[in-house]
Amino acid sequence: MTLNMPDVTIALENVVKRFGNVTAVDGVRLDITRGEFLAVMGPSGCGKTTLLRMIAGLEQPTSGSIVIDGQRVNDVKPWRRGTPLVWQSFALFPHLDVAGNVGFGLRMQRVPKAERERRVQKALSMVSLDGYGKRRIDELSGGQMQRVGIARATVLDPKVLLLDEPMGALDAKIGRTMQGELRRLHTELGITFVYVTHNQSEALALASRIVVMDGGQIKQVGEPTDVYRRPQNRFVAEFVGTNNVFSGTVVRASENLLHIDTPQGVFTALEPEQCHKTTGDRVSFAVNADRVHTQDVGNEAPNKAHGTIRAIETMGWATTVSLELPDGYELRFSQSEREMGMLQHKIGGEVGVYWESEAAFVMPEG
Amino acid sequence: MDRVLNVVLKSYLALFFAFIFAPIVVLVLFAFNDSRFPSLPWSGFTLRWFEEVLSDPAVRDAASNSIVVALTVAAIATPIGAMAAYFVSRWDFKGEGAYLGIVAAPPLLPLLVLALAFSVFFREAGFAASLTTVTIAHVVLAAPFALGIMRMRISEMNVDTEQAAWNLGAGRWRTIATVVLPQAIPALAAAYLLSAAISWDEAVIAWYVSGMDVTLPVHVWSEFSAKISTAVNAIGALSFAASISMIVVAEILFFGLGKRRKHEQ
Repeated sequence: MTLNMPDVTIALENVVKRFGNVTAVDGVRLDITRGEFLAVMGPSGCGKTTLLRMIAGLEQPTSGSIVIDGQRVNDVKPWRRGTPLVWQSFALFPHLDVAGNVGFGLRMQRVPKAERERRVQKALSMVSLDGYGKRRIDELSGGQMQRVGIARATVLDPKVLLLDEPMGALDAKIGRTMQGELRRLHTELGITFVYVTHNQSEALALASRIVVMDGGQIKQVGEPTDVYRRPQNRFVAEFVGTNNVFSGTVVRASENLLHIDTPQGVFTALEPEQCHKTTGDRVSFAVNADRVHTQDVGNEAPNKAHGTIRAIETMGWATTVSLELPDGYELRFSQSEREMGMLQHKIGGEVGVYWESEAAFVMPEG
Repeated sequence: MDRVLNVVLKSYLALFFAFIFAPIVVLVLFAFNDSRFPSLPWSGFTLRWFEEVLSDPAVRDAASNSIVVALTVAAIATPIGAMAAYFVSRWDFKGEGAYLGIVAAPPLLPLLVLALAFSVFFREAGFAASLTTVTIAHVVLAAPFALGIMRMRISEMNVDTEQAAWNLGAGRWRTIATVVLPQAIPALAAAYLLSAAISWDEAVIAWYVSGMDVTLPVHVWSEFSAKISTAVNAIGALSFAASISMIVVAEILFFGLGKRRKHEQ
């Protein structure tokens, strides 16, 4: 542990990983803080799993450094890292029973049998699998298998738990139960969790900090609300949440409010701090679909649009409506089931919408 | 229409089976015929041919030679084939396809060609013809089968389980010992039995590379190729029983675990 960075468990210093001609991870710099629940999120092929596998030592960086507790571990073999991983494919040992799987790592550390059994019991109990020790792996459900996978990792009392799409092979309902258990486990263990997922609702629900990746690079790092409400660039705006991205030229800058001329009309948007855009600059801003409302009569909101409903997608608790503006732009807004029921939207119907200036966020990176 | 097709297909399969096994059935049936000649007419049931061959010291020596050779061949070919299968499955290298094609070649060559090659090779290399040379030659013949069986099994094992073992603190060799081998045991046993069966049955190579001590097929060949005797049927029946038991057990070990393996995917 270096003295000037006591709170950093893992530091990634300009990490690059190439497979032949393909650059999977392209210059990632990231400090992972002790005890945080960090989600690494991005589409498939963005490099998030490769990043996790490099932390575990299952891949070697082409260049850059991976530092764990102040020690450069690039050349440390995976079996000496102490960074247990929870696998999307579970990767349980089919020839061992549940207790044999959970106790595997302890057996490798030559922990005496009595202590091993005690710790296995405790780890199983933490994932609500008391009494499952003698079960065969193929007698378990998917959710139970993954809990064995988690117990197998946490039984080693690691400083960091790595999770690679742990709910990827589970159905949605079991996944939600598991989310709650993971959150509880993180609180109880108080260790660092690094959680890789392509699923934004998992990341937003679980993480204290989110890293959004694309094309091997970090696109944004921040708290969930930050990433959700204040996307730094078009990629994050389109990948996280449902955002409408507008581009145009600044026609007036007053205090922290920009007036922007876009093909869809002149809109006002909040300028983030340290952005310093002035008249004539090209800017893009994002408006989240849940901040767009259908227009009330006589509403004085500065940002208005009018269009034809092209599609209505319902997700049960909320509905997303696609509105085609006169110039062809597709604007999406979401409404609760109750609002939808009152408004009686129909495909082909005309509707006016508005949003507050505070809902429009200028993206510093365009 | 479907019923007709069903009957036709089943009859075809029955005929195919009969075609394959008819010679063996005839051989086994006539082993019990109370006649000096293994042919019709049927002269009554007897076990005397079995008694005769089992009490023949030459047959007993040849059979025990064959057992020793088969068990040794299997004990060498299985680990060789298994290790090659593991390395081929887990490490990608240039020319992998060519490598597999070449190591799979010995069983595909005409046995006579292989036998002559071995005969010349052993003579030039200064090996005296003996059960050792038979064993070496049979290992070359059997190892590709062991490799094939092990490759099929390893390809069904989730590679993540090995990396999970590394991740939990097991080095490469410990992973092989604690994760790979236990999962592979039924397949290893199958490979062992199949290798033994291949050596047990093999006559041509053994004929060319054996010395004073002969294996059972070589003894049968040299002793009975010129004369007709029902004793051959008795030896054949016993030898076939040994082979088929090994092969059936191997198949049960290898294919009979389908249900269990499905869960590993």
